[in-house]
Amino acid sequence: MTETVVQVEGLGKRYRLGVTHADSLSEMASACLRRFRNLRHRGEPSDRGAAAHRLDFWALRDVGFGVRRGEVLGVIGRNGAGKSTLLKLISRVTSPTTGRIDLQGRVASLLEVGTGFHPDLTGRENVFMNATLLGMTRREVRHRFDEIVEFAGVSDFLETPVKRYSSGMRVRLGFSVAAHLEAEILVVDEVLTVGDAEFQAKCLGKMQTVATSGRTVLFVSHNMGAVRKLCGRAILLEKGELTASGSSDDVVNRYLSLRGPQERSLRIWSREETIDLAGKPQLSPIRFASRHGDGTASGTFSTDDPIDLTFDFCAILPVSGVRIGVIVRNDENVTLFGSNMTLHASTDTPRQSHWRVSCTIPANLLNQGGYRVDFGIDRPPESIGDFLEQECIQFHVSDLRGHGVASEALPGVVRPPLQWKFRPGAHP
Amino acid sequence: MESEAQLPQSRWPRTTILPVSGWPLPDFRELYRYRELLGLLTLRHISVIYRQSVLGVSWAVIRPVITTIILTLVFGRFAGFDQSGSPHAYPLFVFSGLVIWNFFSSSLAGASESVVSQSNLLSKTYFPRLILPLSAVGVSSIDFFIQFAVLILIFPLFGTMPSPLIFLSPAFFVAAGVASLALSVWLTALNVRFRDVKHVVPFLTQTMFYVTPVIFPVSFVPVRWQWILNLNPMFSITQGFRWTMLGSDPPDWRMFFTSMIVSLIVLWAGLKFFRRTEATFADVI
Repeated sequence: MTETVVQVEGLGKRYRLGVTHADSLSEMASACLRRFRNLRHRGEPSDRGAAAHRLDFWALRDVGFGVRRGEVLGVIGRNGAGKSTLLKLISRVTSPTTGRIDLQGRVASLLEVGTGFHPDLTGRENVFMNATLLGMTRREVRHRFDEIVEFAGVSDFLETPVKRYSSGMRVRLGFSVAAHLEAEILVVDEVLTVGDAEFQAKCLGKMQTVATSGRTVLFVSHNMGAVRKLCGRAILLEKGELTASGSSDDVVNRYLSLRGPQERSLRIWSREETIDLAGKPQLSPIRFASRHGDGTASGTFSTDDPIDLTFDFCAILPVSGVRIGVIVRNDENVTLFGSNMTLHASTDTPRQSHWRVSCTIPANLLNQGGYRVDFGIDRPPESIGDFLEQECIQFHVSDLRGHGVASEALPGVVRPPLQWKFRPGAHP
Repeated sequence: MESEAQLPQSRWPRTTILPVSGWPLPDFRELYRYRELLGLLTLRHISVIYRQSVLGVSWAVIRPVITTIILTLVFGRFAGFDQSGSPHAYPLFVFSGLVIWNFFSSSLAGASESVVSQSNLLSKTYFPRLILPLSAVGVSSIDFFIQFAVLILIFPLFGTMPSPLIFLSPAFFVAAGVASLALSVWLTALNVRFRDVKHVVPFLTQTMFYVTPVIFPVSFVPVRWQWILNLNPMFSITQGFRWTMLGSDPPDWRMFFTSMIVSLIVLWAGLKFFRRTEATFADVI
C-alpha cells in the first residue's frame, strides 16, 4: 500500500470581514481590554466579542482528506467554495485557523504562473528567480534549464527583458518552470485557463506525465473534462465544507447535479408581481428555470444533456396570442439564438389557472461554457417587447467527454455531433 | 518496515502545518535552507536598481560623494562644524560617518518596505518572510562595501592613510546591521497592517540623522546630554566606525555595549513578533 503524503485534518480558515486597517488598531485595543475585563469577571460573555463573531467568515471549515503518493486529486466546487483557500493553506501562503496538514515531500505551488517575474530582468534571470522561489536549488535549475526553455519555446529570447515578451510567452515560460520542478507534491490552480488552445493542450499533457511519474498532484479546475481524465479521485467543496469525495466520475456527477445558486439558475417572482401587456395585468409570473430532462432544476449541465427552459405562471387575462420568448447568450455576450412561441389555447384560459410553457435546447448544441438567458413576453401586434428581463437566469455547460490527449473542450460556441465518414476513394 | 526506510522517499522532508500559536522564534534552519533565494533576491534588487541607467553601479559612489560635498560646504564652511583644531579633514570626517549611516538608514528604509512592495510574491508562494527584510539589508550591504572601498581610496587625497584600527571596522558594520534589523523587523511586520509606517520611516531616519554624529563631532554635544543621544544606537556605532577609520576618539564603551544589548533584545522580541504575524501577511496585505 502506498503511503499518504498529504493528510488534512479538521482544517479551517477564518477571515475577518469588514475589518479595515484603521479598525484593526481599535479592535486590537478592545481585544486587550476585553481580555483584561474577562480576567476580572470570569466567564461573563462580552457582547463586543459577539459583535466580532458576526464579521467572521469561514472560508473553510472542518475539512479532512488524505492523498496517497502518485495520486492526482481533483478539487472542484463553485467559485468561492474554498478551493483556492485550501490550496493556499497547503502551499503555506497563509496559515490555518484550526486543524492540521501533514505533508511528506516538497510542495510546489502553481497558484499563478510566472510568480515573481520581474519585467526588467531577462528571461534567463527570471527562470532562475522563479524556480528558486518555487523551491528549486540552483543546481537543479541549471540541470533542467534547457528542458524548461525548450518546453516554453522562448530560446531565442533568453537575453531579452521579460517586459518585452508577449503575454503568451510569459505564461509559457512560467508554466514551464513550474512543470519542471522537482517537487513531490504539485499544487495547481486554474493555470490552464490562460494561454492559447495549443498551449493549454500541451499543459494538460504535461500534467498527465507528471502524474504518471509518481508525483502527487492536487488539481483545482473548472474544466470537468480535464478533472475526469486526469484525476483518479476528487473532492467537492461547497461553502467551505467538504461534501463529497470519491472517484472523480462520481464527484463530477455530484457537482453537476448540484442545484445552482437560486438567484442564478432559477428566477422566482414574488406573489404580488404581475406582467402587464399593453397596460393591463396579463399574468403573474411564478418561476423561470433551467431543468434536466427529469424536471429537476439545475444550473449545470453536460454537453450531452438536453436543457429544458420552463416558465410557470398564473393567468390573469386570457393568454391566447401572448408570445413568450428567450434569447440565449454566452459568457462573452455573443447572442447565440432566439426562439419564441405564441400561445394558443383552444378554450379560454380561466382566471387564476396555472400554466407551464417550456422549450428544450437539444443535447449536443451548446459547447462548454456559461450561458445567460434573456426572457421576454409580449402580445403582437398591439404590444411589442413589453416585458424583457435580461439575464433572467444563467447556467453552465461542461464537456465531460473531451477530446484529444488531455480532454480539452472543442473550440467554438456550438458543439454539433457531426456525421463523419471514412471510405475508399474513387480513382480520378 | 525496514525496507521502507531504505526507499529514497524516506529522505523527503515532512512538514506539519498548524495554526500559529505562542510566540516562537523564526526557524533559523529553514532560513538557512532558503539562502539561495536570499542571494537571488538581493542580486535581483541590485541589478534592477541599476539597469537601464547609463552610469549604472557608479551611482552607488556618486550619491555619497555629492552628499559629502554638499554637507562639507553647508556644515563645514558655513555652519562652522569644521573645527580648526581637528586633525582630520572635514570631508573625510563626514564621508566616514556617512558610509556607516547610509548603510543603517537605507537598510531600515528598504527592509520596512520590503514585504509590502513584494506582495505579489507573498500571496502566491511560500518562503520564510524574513528573507525579504534580510535581502533589503543585503542590498544595503553591497552599497556599503562599494562606499567603504571609495572611502579607503580617497584617504590619499587628503594626505593621510586609514588608521591601523581599520581591521576592527567590520565589527561596527555588523553592529549597525543588528541595530537596523532590530528596528526594521518591527517596522516591516507593522507596515503590512498599518501603512502609516511608510510615513513614519523617513521621518524617523531624518530625525536620527541629526542625533547621530555624522556631520558634527561628538565634542559638540555637552557631556551631560550625551547619555540621551546614546539612546540612539547609531551614536556610538558611528563614533566607533570613525574611530577605526580615522583613529579619532573611541566611543564610550559602556554606552556602546549597553545600546548593543538593547538592540539585541529589541531584535529578539521583533523576530518573535515577525514570526507570529508573518502567517497572516498574505491575508491582510
